[in-house]
Amino acid sequence: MTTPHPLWRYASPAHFLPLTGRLLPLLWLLAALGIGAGLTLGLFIAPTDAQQGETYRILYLHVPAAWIAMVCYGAMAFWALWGLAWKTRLAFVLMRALAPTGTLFAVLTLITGSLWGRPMWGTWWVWDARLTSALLLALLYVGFIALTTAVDTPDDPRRGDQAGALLALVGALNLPVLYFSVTWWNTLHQGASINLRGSSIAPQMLAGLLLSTLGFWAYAGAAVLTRARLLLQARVESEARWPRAIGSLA
Amino acid sequence: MNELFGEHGAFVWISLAAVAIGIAVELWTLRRATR
Amino acid sequence: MGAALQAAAAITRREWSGTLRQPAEWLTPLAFVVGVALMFPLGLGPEPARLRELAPGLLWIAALLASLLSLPRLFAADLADGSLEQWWLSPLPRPLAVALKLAVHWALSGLPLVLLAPLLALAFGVEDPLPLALSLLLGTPALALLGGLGAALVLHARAGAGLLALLLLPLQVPVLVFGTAAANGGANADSALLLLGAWLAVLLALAPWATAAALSLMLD
Repeated sequence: MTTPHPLWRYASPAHFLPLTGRLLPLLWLLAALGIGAGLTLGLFIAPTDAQQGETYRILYLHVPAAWIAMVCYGAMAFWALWGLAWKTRLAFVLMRALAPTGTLFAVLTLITGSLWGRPMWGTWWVWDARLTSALLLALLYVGFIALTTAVDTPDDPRRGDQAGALLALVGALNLPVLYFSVTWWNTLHQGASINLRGSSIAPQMLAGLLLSTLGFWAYAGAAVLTRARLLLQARVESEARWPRAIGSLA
Repeated sequence: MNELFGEHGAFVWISLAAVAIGIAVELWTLRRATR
Repeated sequence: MGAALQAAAAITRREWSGTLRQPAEWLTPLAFVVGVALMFPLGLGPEPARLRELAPGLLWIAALLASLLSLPRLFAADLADGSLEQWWLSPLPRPLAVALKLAVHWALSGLPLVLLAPLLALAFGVEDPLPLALSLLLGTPALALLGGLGAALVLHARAGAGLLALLLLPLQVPVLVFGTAAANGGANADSALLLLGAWLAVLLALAPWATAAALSLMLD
């Protein structure tokens, strides 16, 4: 009988909860420091951009948001696959915990992108490949949340887990084709395109961007893990209710 | 204050506000679920 | 082998006669497309040049929306009367059973659109509706394959076409992009048609398998 890899014990609430309990204060601190330092540097200390003036500073919010929105979906698909393959409760919990945070950052990507584009190029929106893909990403998140909540039965999240996992997985597998088709579509109609920075980056700008990215990453991780703990605890409680309700000796 | 971020500074402020509101809402929902 | 073929024939016959017996099932998408096509000049104005330019894309969108209409009920009836479980017990491989069901579904709801849409295009002043017809010939099966997957995911939810539209949109975008580019004709139409055909081939290989897996999970 082979022993399972020692990391597997973190799939159990008995280990996951204390571990995340110790991790979370650190993550919140990193978030506050990173965002604070990054935005201070980026918004107030970094020099004005030669081409784009002051409003380029929205980038310190837009770039981290876009990254997080994308990586959260990838992580959701990862945990979806894990859950379907190994059927651990924690995998599905993490998958579900990622969705609201991912949605938030996808929407923030759209809002900050639009607010950045308006003073730069005069329009609130442009149907280029990147922005259209960002909108589709937001729709992917909303679809996931809509499906899981529609399929869920009270006290039994398994069907919602599986439907959601399949959707997340199929969506992720579809992403390369989706991005290719949107890019192809855009070149077809010679649409406009919003380009990120072309000119050189001052060191304070880079530092500000890195710090704020790290800070927002830490925040996203903290929010997701907090939600995961809550979901896991709720599931453990609802599972414990059955034996008690039937009057088991346990 | 208005000129802090140039003539279009309002856009920067609104972006900051959007992020702050979004984070606040998320944290509030997490706090509410903890109770 | 013989048993599987018998099962395949049985499924096909059942789907075919079952759907034909309900005229609403296969007439509705057609009427829907006509209705939506009517809305376009009403909403956009009757100016011929603009309608002619927009017609292929608009008709494609109408066909896409029409494909969503019958999806919520696609597997629901089979689930309700227990025939879905029957498939699972039959000697026919499940992806094949799914593919057969979708094929019949497409033949009755998608294929008529391939014939109807070009007629509507002529009404919009499009001179050569053949690109539109070809693009729909490849595109409607692709939409049906994706639709089957969506319908399997919402098997137990009280889902309407709205939820399915939301779920399927990101998956349908490549079909829509390639299909409309092919329908509009011109320089890019050939490569668009090839891309659409290639994507259809991929979907033919993967979607029935994924749909069968989804149904297996949902039936547990």
